[in-house]
Amino acid sequence: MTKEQKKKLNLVGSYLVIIVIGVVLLYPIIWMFFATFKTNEEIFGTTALLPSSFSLKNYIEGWTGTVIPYTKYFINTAILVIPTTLFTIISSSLVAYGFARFRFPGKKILFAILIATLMLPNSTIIIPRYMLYNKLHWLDSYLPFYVPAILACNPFFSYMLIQFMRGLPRELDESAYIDGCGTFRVFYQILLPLMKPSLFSAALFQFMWTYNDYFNSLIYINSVKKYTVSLALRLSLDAESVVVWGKVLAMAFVAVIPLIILFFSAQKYFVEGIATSGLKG
Amino acid sequence: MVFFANFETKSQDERIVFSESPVIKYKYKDGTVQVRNSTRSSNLADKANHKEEYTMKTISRRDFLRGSAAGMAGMALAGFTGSSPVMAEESDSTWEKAEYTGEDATLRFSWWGGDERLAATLAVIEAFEADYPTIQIEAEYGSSDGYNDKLATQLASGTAPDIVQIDPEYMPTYVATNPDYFVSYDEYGFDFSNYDESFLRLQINGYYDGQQLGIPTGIAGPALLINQELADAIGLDFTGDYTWEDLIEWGKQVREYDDSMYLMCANKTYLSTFIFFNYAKQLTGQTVFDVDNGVLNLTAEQAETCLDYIQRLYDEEVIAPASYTAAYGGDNLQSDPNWINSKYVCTFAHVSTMSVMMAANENATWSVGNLPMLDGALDAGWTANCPQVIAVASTSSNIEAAMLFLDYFFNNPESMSTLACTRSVPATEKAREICTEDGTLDEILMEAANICSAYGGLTPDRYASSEEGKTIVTDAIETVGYGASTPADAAADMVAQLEMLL
Repeated sequence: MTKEQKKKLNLVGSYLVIIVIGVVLLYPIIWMFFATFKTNEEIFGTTALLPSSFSLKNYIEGWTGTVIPYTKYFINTAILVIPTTLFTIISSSLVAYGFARFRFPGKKILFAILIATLMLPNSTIIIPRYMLYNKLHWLDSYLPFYVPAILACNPFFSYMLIQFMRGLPRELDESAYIDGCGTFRVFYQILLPLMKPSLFSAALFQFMWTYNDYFNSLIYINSVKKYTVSLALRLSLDAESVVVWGKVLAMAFVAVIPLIILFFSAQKYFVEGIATSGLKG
Repeated sequence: MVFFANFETKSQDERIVFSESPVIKYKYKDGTVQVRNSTRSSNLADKANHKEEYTMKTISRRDFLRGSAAGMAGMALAGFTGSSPVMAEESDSTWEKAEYTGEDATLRFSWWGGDERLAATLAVIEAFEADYPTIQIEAEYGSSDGYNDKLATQLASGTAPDIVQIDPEYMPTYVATNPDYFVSYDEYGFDFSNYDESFLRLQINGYYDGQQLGIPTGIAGPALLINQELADAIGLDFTGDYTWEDLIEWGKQVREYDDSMYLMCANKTYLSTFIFFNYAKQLTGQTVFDVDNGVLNLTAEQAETCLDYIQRLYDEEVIAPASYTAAYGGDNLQSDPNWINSKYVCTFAHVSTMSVMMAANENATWSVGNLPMLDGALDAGWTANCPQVIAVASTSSNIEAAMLFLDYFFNNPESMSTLACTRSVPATEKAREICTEDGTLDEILMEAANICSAYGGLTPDRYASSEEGKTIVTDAIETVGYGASTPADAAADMVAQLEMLL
């Protein structure tokens, strides 16, 4: 066997392994896609992947099945998720700038508090938050999602960005100062562009978490006309009535499409962001 | 109309008379019971009880239970024919539109449920708003998943919707937390004339400390759902009177007939809800907890007997192995491929979830059977309840309007027709009549409701029916099911944990 042949064989081998792993990982989504064309009996009764027939009935009926069409739920989700994500990125990067680049009284204690709040599970803060929002008359609106995002109440992202920013050489800031930049200009002209990978992964995480979040939406949103997709998907699921799984899966499939597209289009930054944050320097 | 008859276990020489019932029963010191048929036609009773005769005869306790089941079932069915004078009178009561002169109101109404319930409930709301233009009802519907978490949060912070649908098993916890969460219907003079008092005035149906805090939306309870063709082929008859031991024998017969089949489809949740708690009540003659005195009635030995029976179900292959059914937990038995492919002869089910189980296997012919009893049972165990209750939050902005809406919801014949069986078999005779006329009443659901109503066992106490209580028992069953501990060890552990609930 020549060296060339060996190289080729290796390549084929590694591609085969990658394909097999890829199929295994993607199988749930592939299965979900085909299940959207199946009846309940087919879903539970057989293990075959392909449905007996293809029809868009489940998609059409699922879309309009819950009185309010899914168009409304998708619009609501966009209204909720996009601003929340943007606010989170802006506020978290500002907080990170403060912690990573400035010395101020009480910095260590404040940083310890930030880390401490990272450890708080959501279920312990949901009641005080709920009562606070109730007093502020924010319930049944999207403010309980927007305002904490504006105030950088998600310590995970602040922490992640702090670590990333600490890895950026200070010399860049200093040369910018020498060139006459102010503190804010250093932030948005020097540091932010360098933080792109980290910002992307923070944005993707926040987008996915808010998009998939069921519990907070359930607790804070009452009116059906303000429901998000995650709440709407549960509408047809009930122990006391016959669930047409094909319809539910059809809508679930439509609901994951935005996430899949987003992930693939931002994959480069996303992976880079996770791989590099906190490791530089 | 008697739906519920409490099986009086303590009485010795007393006569038990079920008022308004076609069968009169006498119970004597030696434990025998005499049942006498009244003059009323028992055709329907016969139909329900599968050829059983109810003429003067002395029967054993087991026969008594079955007899009372048939009698009650007969009574319930007799109601449809209008043969009962009591019912006829009630059925005459017509709904009159009450005027509303109060200020404009917007009420929130929350419930969980599937698509059918949603469509029917929204239709009633729309009809109500057309009749009362100054009152708006904002529907807040969702899934049963997380519903109680949300409601608990809302009640605690005073932001609960004006009108709420509640799981009757959670309601005792809410009322115990704050007796003032819900307003008393009696204080507002709600018209309960369509309801049977003996059904309505039970804690499980919303009656707490002499106040009706909730309205039951229907009749639910345990049922044994049978794949009739399979049962016939094997030669099993669930229509008669049988014991827990019979189930084990039948289980063996099923395995002999076809070793890919099992008698019963059951997961740990169902073993706990249907078998453990009812077996325990029949064994002890008491509820698991004595709530008033704050003590646990169930001893470790008794718990061991119950768990021992469950272990035998596994060992004798009456039910599928725990490792297999683990994939179909909670109310997901309908997704078990063996169920879909007719590999089980029967299953326990809630009346409210029966139709889901039936829909999962459309090739089978379904019937409902009697429920198993313990030899020498001290209580009937099995009892009916309701699938949901509807309550009005005391924080409501306009209780008067809420009452008006609920009157429309429960008492208006048109609403009854629209809602039909979307919240199980309706709780009022009148609604059932209307559904029968419309052809929307599911006969098999009705029969199941009648059967469980007739046993009249003790209502589960609030500790045993709480999430924690059920989890403790289910966990014990799981360890026994996997053979991780003996029934004795699991029972001792379980009792110790249950005591901590107090």
